[in-house]
Amino acid sequence: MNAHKRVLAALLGTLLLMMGNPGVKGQSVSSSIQGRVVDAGGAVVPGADATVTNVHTGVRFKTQTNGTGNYFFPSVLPGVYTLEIAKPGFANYQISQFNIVVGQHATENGTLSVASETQTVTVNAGGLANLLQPESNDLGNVIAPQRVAQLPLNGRNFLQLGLLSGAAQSNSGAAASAVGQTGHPGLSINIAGNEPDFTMYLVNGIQTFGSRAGNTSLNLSVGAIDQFEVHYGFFMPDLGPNPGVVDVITKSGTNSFHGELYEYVRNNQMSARNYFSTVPPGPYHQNQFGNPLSWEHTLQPRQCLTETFPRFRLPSTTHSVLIRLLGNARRLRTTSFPPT
Amino acid sequence: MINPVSQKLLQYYLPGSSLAATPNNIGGNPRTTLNSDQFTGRIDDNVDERNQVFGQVSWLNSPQSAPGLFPLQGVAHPLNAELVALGWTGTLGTTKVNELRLG
Repeated sequence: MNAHKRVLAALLGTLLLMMGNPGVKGQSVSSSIQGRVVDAGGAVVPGADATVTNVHTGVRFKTQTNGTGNYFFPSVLPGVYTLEIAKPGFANYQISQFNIVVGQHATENGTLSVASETQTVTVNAGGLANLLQPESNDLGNVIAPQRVAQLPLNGRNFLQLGLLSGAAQSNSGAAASAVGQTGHPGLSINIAGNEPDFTMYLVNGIQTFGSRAGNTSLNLSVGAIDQFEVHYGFFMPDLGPNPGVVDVITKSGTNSFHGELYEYVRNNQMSARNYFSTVPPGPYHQNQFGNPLSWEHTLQPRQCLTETFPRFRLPSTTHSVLIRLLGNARRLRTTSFPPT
Repeated sequence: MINPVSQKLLQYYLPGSSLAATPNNIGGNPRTTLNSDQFTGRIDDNVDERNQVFGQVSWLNSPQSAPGLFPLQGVAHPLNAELVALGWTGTLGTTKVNELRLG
């Protein structure tokens, strides 16, 4: 094979790789935790053990601070975490119950004081998130689990929650007419003044396309969603080329069994009659019901940590499988008014 | 002699469907139906401190129909969506992490 053919083959190979499957794009959706550990005098503390533990699943990660006193957990799932920092000669330092939201690059610094290792300094974050993100230039608004679970929605469409971000709005004009073509309302939103075509919808990092440009095909049940973020503006390149992103993380299992059963009812019996109308409202029935279930199964016995953590007999390695199955059915049946 | 096609159409005539005493027009709003069923499952496997994998399956079947007053009228919008996703997050070092998503 001469040089020309080799170059041609390389070009063709590159082209084939680029052609891949353009319809499905994966983007980074995980969060990270990092911080710096210093002593009471402000000097950095290298070699300190840093451990984060997911409060609900027991999944934990360990690392050590480097020569500049920094530690880094580059990929954690959203959830409520506790951070432990320990080094012989210092009191243990703990930040308990802080929330890591989707796509967040959180900074949690620690200060170690000289004391017995049996003492622990605890900072209780009360389940709140530290939303200052000096490591990221991302603009966005997280729709947290409480909002997803508790806010009432007409039709239980999760994209209505995206409107809370302040940068998003419902479609109007030509974009709204897509409903007439798809028959399904509420499958797209505008973000930061861009056309709906520029919005990308990610479910656990996988893009979901609808049959019409700018629509998502998967109108996920609100019960399946843990949280999501509406990204806009300038953000890190790992989120892809679109100026607006709806980044959905579905729920994963927890340490205990959970069950739930719900039904939302809306019908014409609850509708008021138009003042000028002589007939009652026509039949309208909307029922939505579902039964999300989740549990965790631990595949291997948990091991105890070494003497570094005398206070915390937590597993150094957990091999756990978290399973969450969500069933949701929606019945939406409408009949308009009888002719008058 | 009445056209047989017209006779068939007359079967769909709704008496009293107009305000006029002797109505000439047929009016009415047929039932619009949207039935949406869906299922989502997700499994997370925390293999060890450096490797996490997950698998996800979503299925959606959501047909919408808006029939007309007469046969062969109206529109139907089927919507079927399936999403199968596999993900692996591997921590390669203190400053490197690899996220692989297949879907």
